[in-house]
Amino acid sequence: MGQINEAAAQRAGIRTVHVVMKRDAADLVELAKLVDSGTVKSRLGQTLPLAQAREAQELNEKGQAAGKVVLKVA
Amino acid sequence: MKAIRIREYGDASTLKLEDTPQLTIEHDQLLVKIRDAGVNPIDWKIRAGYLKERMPSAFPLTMGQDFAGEVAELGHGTSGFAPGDRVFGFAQGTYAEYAVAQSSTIAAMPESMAFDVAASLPTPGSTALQLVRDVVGAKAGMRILIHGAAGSVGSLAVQIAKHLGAPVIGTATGPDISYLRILGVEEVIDYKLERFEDSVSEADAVIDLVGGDTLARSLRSSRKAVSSRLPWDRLMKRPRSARAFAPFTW
Repeated sequence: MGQINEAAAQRAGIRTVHVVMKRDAADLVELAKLVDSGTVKSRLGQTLPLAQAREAQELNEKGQAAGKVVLKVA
Repeated sequence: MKAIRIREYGDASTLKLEDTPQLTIEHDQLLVKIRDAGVNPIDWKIRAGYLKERMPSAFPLTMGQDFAGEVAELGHGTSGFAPGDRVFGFAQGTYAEYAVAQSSTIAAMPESMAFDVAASLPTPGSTALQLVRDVVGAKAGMRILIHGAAGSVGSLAVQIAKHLGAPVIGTATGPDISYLRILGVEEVIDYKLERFEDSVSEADAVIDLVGGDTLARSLRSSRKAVSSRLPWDRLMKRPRSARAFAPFTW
């Protein structure tokens, strides 16, 4: 990922704001509600055993999975 | 316990299934038994060393940050959870039988939710929710163009935007086109068949989950754009009418 060139952005008339994803329990609660109520459905793709983490990451990296790749641990 | 670890940055062959020492928890931490772990782009970006300057890793490093599982043990001073509780969220090293979590980054799973569903949510769901609700500020009638609308973040972003009353225009291709129609995307654009600039009138906001020149092209037709990718060198060559831009990283 690149870095923001603030000076160049300003010259171009673009206001930049850098946002980082927050790990927030309140958002997890909100997501759980949205899914539990049927408002939001998670698109699951393939589930692979933990030992196949290599294949799992490659599927994700190459964009070959239609839906979320999940590792089954137990 | 068993864990997937790396000892150096590199391709997927650096991932090794290893027997590792049992974890110990400190004050305010929980030990969670992992049932399912979500695989996210950040996992392989860390593995490949793309983030080593911003987030240097200590080796050996157990991979993964999203999980669903059960509380195994509570540290002193941890409240709100009990052993055996079904929980999901963020922890360090979730491609493993156990991981250490903070109570501020996990939540209880609804009774009827499956572990694989819960494990699929933390990073993509938090990213989608924060992008749509907080960064873009989706509300009724706001037209939002989402690039990569059928992906893990995109599909959740579409549904959250619609829930907030915002009509969505989405780009995808192949079988994902019919998937977006099922999700209720108002205008679906096959990016292999048409250029979105030619068919979409101005959107109130653009969420770019694709990268490349998508963002720069989007900035010409919208006042507000947000991207999880940062193609700065190209972006700066085509500034035009853009007024706000929010790069989003996780």
